[in-house]
Amino acid sequence: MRLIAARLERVRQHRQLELSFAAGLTLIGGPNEAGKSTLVEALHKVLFLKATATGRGVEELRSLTHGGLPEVELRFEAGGQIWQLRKRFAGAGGTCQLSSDGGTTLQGSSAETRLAALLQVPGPIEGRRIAQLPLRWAHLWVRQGQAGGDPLAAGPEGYDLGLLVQQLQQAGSAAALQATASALESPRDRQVQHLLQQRLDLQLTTTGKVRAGSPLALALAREAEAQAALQQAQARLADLDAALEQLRQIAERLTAIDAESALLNSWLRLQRQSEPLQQQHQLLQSALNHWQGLLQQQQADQGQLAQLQLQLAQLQQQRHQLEQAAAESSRQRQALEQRSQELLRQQDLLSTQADLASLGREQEQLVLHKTRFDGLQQQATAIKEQLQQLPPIGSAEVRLLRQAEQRWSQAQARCQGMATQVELLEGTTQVSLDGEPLTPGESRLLERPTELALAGGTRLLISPGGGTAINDAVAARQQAHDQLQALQQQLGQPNSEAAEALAQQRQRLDNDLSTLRQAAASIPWAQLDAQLAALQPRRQRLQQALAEQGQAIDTPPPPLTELEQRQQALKRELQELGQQRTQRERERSAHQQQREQHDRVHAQHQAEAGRLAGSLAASEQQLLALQSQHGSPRQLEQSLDVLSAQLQASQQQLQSLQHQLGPAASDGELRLRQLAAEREMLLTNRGQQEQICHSLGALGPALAVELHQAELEQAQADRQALERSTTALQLLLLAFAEAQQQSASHYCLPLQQALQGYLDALGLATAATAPLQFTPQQGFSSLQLQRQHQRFDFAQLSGGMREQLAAALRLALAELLRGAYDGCLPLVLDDAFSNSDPERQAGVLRMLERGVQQGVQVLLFSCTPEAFAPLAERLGTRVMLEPPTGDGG
Amino acid sequence: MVSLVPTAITVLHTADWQIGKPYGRVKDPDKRSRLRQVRLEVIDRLAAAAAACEATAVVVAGDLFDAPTPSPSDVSAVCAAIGRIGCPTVVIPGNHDHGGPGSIWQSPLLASERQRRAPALLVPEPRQPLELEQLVVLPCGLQQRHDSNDPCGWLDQLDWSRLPPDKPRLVLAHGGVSGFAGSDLDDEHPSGPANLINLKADWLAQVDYVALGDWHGCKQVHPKAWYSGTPEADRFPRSADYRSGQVLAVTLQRGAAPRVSPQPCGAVGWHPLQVTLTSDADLNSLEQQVEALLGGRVGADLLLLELSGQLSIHGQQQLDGLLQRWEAQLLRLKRRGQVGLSADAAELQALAQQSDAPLVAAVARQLQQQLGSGDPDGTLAQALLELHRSVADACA
Repeated sequence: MRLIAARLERVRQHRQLELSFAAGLTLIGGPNEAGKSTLVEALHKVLFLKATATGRGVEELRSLTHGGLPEVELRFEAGGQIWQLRKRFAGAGGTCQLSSDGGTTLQGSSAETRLAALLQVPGPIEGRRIAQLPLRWAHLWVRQGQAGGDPLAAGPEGYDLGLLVQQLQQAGSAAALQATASALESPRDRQVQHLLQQRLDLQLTTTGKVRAGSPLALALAREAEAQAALQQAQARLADLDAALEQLRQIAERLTAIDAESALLNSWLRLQRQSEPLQQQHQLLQSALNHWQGLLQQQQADQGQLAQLQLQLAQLQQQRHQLEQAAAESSRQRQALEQRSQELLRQQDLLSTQADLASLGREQEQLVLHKTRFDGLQQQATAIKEQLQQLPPIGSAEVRLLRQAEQRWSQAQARCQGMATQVELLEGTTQVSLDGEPLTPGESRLLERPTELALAGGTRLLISPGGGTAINDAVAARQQAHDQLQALQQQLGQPNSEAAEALAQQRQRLDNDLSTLRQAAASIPWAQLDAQLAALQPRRQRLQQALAEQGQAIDTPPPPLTELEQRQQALKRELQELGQQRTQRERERSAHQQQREQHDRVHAQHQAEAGRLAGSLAASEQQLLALQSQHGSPRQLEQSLDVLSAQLQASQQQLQSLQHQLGPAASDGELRLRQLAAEREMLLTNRGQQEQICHSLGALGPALAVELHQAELEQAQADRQALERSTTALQLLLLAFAEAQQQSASHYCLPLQQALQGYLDALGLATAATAPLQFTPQQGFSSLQLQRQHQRFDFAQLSGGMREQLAAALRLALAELLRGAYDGCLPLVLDDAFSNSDPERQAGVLRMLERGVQQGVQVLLFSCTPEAFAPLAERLGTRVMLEPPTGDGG
Repeated sequence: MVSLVPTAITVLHTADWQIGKPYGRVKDPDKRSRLRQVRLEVIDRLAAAAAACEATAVVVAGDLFDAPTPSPSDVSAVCAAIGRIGCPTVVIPGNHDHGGPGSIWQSPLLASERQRRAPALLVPEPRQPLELEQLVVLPCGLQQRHDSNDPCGWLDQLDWSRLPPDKPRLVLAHGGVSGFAGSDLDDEHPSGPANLINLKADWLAQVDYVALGDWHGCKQVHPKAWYSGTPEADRFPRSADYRSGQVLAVTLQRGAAPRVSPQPCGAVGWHPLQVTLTSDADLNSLEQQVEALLGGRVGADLLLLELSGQLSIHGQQQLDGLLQRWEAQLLRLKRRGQVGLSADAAELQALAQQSDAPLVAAVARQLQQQLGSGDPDGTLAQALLELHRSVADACA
């Protein structure tokens, strides 16, 4: 399909535009607003928009400046003919006319249908489906601003996948497809694949899990149910078997219990029978033992009694000896007591005598004291008289007088200091002072204004200095003088020296008196007379005592020292006596204790003897009783032998049973009770087990097991069949996918090769597109550029690179698709390389040239056509659109 | 004048009736019920056989019931059927219906049913000789399912002099015998080394016949000892010499060798059939073989069909049709083996050459190639069948 020429009338800014297209490259240049994009849209719409379409698609074509309806005419070559297409877009009234140079002329819908057939598209786009319009030949029609988009992104519809696949199939790859036995895909294939997928979807979810409610899920559930039911049935059967086994064991055990119980009963019966024998044997044996014991006891008691009586006699003798020794000791004690009394009397006499001597000495001392005290008292009386004669002047009075004297003396000195001295040195005439003459050599002190009268009537008034102060001083002196005089009169002394002498004399007398008092104080003068008087009654009492002791009163007492010596001697003797008495007392006490001990032992022996006598009597009685009961000991022994033989026979039988019974025989009654209890328990258990057998047996457990086993096997078989079917479906779908994948690589190959040709022309020899991916449903995808070993997604590339790679792909697509359009297809590029840098420009030109060489008709719209001008001149034509003037372009 | 020669008598030896056998693997409950019913019906044929040979007694060597606790209805039915036998029927418990406590043999139900319907049904005391008018029966039944003791062990201690000298002595026992025991006997309930009977020469010399039960086929294991087998077959024979569905008419005379005559009495056919299908044409032959076996009978046979070989898809469908038909006709169709899909079948060739579905063709070719190398689990054949079906559906 090749565009030859176009004519636009009343299309937006174009009132009328006519232009021809070169077979190779047509460069359509022009500044902005020259109507390039309008031309691109008009060419697209005349081919694909229905002439009768209404709405936006048509409105966009309408010219605001030129009256009338938009009309587009296109001349093109397709299907081996030259076609003239004219569409007048007038909404529902639009017209379409298609005529060929072969004479075919079509109008309206038939023209539209034919046109679609020529373009190999489903049909013209109606107004209401205007959104689909851009998808038509989107791979061949690059609008302004869309050059950087991924041509594959729009999906299969955007690049006519069906036709492309067909072309790929028919292209040089057909041989390769055959060789690899790779299949292409048909609607039938898809239908079959769809059916298979549907069947698989019945069983599995998209994630490969068993779908809920699916036959497989139901089969699995049935299998699980059958498994559970089988287990339950098996458990019931096992329970039944177990119950039967229990019953068997219970029966066995009951038999064993019965046997053991019988043995035990025999054992107990025998035991009961041998018990009285045993008791009688024990009775006789104990009687015999008792008899023998009594005899032995009797013998022992008698021996003991004799021994006791001997001991009692010895004790009697010892007690007599003790009593004698006690009497002797008592006598010695009395003698000692008498001597002691005598010595005490002597001690009393000596004591009285000593007291009397002491009294005499005390009396002498008291008389001496009294004499000395009287002497001292006389001296003190003399001193006191002297003191009374002296005036009462003490050191305080002397101090007061001395102070008064000093004050007067000071007042005097002050008056003299302030007075004016007048001395008559020499004169012959009388000189008087205040009337009193003054003699030569005489001087006077003037303490007041004094008139000095000289001979000749001369009078002079002489005033001492100081003003009134002299008067105050004179007054103070007078006061001091008065005070001194009053004190002297009070003391009766002319001056302080005399007063001091008197005070010192008084002081000496006071000291003497004090000395006397101290001397008197050393004498116990108080109550001396009373003490002396008190001595007399004491003396009388002592003398009386002496008289009572037989001593003559008038006999002078021996000296005190002698008395004391005699007292000491007496005291020593008394101490010795005391020790002897203590010794004797201890002896007496010991004797007493010995006697008491003897008495106790005697009493005990006597009691023991009494007891023995009683015991002997009792033994005798018991022996008599035994004899009366059992006859002689010999007879008793014979009876015992008979019983022993009987018992031995019984024991042998018991031993035999014991051997059979084992440890159970140790407590037969207990064991019997245990067995009875166990039997009871077993019978209860047997009832329970029988009940279980009855109830489980009624359920037919064996049948249930077999039925559920069969159910399980069937369920397993069903499940396995479904699983096999599912696996088979999965296997099939996998095989389909693999076959598709295999064919996809063959589809991709020619496109990849064509694309690589343009990339090489672009100068990207080292670059390559990564393998495109292909699926029949999704078409091609994953446009990537591989440089070195790194792959870049289309979106990751720069703007310029995206434009160039997209253009390369479009050229490759056009190259491959042109086979379906008589070997030629137009590729419209509107400002498709605006982001490509000048360095890459040459590559772009080479790429476009390669496209033209491969049969692609390139319509290149650009606002900077200069870069492409040489190529256009070489490969085709160049058209310049001018911006519309006022009356249209 | 009294003859000094002991009288010869005939005893009918049978065993393993296994009344109440569930046949759980038979899916159809009616057929299951039918199979159980025929086990009861055979008793009447035994009665007829007993009458025909004027049997002194019928001895049942264990496993009269399938379980120690059979259903009351089975007990009643058995008693009623035994009641129709014209001579005493002596029964011992076997491993299936052992005589331990809790079992049917100790239940009041059996006692009352026996009294009411089968007075001639005799269950001897364990290990106690049972003296009949013309026969002494030495019962060696099982008191538990698995007994490690020899069921006939008690005969070692038996005081033979106390038995009547002129009456034939019959040991009635259930279990395996040395050299022929365990799983050989009862493959459904192998008893292992338990219940083993030692046919000791000592006591064998004292008896005239040993009537054994447990093995469901008829088999002689000693000049004096036989397994009668079950009177109504209950499994597919595993070997050619396996015979069941019979009863033994045993003529006994004290001190003489027994004369044993097997007599068929089973009604249901249990047929094993092994066929290899090499092509679809073999299906006709298979059909003829089966028809020959069944002879047009409906609901009276069981078939164990063991198939191998390969068929085309069409052949598979044909076989499915046949199997469905036989399944309806038979009491049970048990299948074994698998018929594979023939890799070079015309349908597969056609599938692989689908021109309007190249992808289908490619997938079919690939699967076919793989199928040629083997398909142990049948997945490839299944996949091809699924593909074939889907293509057919798509074309429809």
